[in-house]
Amino acid sequence: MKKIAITLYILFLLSVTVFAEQQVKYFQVDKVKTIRGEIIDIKTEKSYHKSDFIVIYLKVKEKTGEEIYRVEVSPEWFFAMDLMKGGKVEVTGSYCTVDGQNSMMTQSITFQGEKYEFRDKYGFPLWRGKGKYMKQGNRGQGKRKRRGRH
Amino acid sequence: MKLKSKKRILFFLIIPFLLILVSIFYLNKFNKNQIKSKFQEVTFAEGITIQNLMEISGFHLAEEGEESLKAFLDRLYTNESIVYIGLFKGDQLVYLLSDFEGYFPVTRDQEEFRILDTPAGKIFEITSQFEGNPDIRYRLHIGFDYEFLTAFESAASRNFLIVAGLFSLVVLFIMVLIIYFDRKFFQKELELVEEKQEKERFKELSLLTSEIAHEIKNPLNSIYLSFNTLEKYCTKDKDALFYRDAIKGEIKRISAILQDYSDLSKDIRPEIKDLDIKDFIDEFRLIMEEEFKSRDIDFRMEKQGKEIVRTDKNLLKQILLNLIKNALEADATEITVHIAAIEKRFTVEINDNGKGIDEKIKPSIFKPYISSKTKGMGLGLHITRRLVQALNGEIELVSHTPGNTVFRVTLG
Repeated sequence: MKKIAITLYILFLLSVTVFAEQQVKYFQVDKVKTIRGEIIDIKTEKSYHKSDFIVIYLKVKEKTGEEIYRVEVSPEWFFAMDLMKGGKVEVTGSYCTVDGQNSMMTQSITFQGEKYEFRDKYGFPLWRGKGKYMKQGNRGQGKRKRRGRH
Repeated sequence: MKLKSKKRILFFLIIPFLLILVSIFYLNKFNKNQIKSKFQEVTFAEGITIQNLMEISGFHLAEEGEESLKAFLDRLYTNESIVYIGLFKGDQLVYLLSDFEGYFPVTRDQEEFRILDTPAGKIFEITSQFEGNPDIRYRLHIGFDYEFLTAFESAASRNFLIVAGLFSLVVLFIMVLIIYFDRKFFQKELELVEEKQEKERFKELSLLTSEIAHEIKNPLNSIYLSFNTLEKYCTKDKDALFYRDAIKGEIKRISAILQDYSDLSKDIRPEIKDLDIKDFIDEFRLIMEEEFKSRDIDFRMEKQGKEIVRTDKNLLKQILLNLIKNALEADATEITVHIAAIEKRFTVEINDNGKGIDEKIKPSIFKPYISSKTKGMGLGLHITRRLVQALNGEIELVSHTPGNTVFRVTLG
């Protein structure tokens, strides 16, 4: 019985690992949701193509209790919000799990009544692109340098 | 005349120009679509090749294991023209490489080739499907940068604008040239035709008026003769004498007007003979002496150059009389006639200090019934021009300002 239980536990772990491997982070329109919470940390992390991304850790109250969300915002150079730990924000984005952790790919952040946009409704990053999307960078900026698996 | 000219420009220049411009526009559009469609054909043909290669390679790599497949996709992604690669295992996306940080235009449709319009521009996507081991179905989406098509379209539009701009400039230049030559030659011809028509109309009118004048002349003569007879019985009463003179004056005026109308229809046949200018001046002074004395006019006649010229003495006299009459009607007090016969050029200039000629009627001063004066029918200068033309000459108004009116007659 104990052996069966151990075997089942190993199988469960394996299945979780396989599932986790199959999880690929990308903006899914049908998984867009809005969360509200308190900022517990703001970090710069290497993300797509090893570029420095602003990542916010949010404490969100849910029915099941408090959850921590990893909110991926934008490259550092594009980010121009004056956020601080303890600040209350509303984040709209595409939900996904990265290594089992709740994650959001940010579409917009509302802070102190002001809304900051980072991606369009299809998830296209506003720091890229052309025309109205053009900000500091443009499409293909540093494209070759940022190649790599994510 | 102006309206006709505007319509001509509209129908023969502007409308054809616009039609050509519209034709170029549609031709360019058609051409652009043709090339675009050819581009797509070629791209799709290449797409089939890439798809086949991916299906074969994918199958073998999947057999080796998913990591080998991903490593191959990593290498593939280094290609400049690829903007994303997405690998599905069943319905699950298991690997993504994207230029756009998490953006992947994934759809549920299984089309093999798609041209996507994304915020990043056009993307040509090829979807390949293959089976791995054991019985795992993979779907591979490769997105190629298709922006060159947009660039091509922009270049085509830019080229069209350049061509259309150059074409417009050339057409505008041609239009300006046509309008210039039209005004210079065609319009002049039209004016001549119109002048001819006007002359014919005037000739018909003159014939009619001269007939009427002739009919009036006879009863008017009878009135004049009867009045002369009646004059003998007239008292020396001041008022009666005033009315007598007034009636005689008006009869003379009617007679002069009738004479003008009779002259209009007459053919002028000049008799060219040698004319001694000095004799002519003396004779003319003698004729006009009384008239000028009674009106207190300072009249001078000067001559310059040759003594003898060949012309019609009576017509020349009539021309001078008409122009002097014109000056007197303009209240001139000083009149100077300058006759010059130098080499082949024979000119007569009449200068007076009258009130001048209105600027508005200056261009049509020699046309019949044109006058700024209250007296007369406006035929004097018209008849004068006819007389001058009969002598193969020209008459022009050199100055028309008050105090200095100058007519110059140049005879051939």
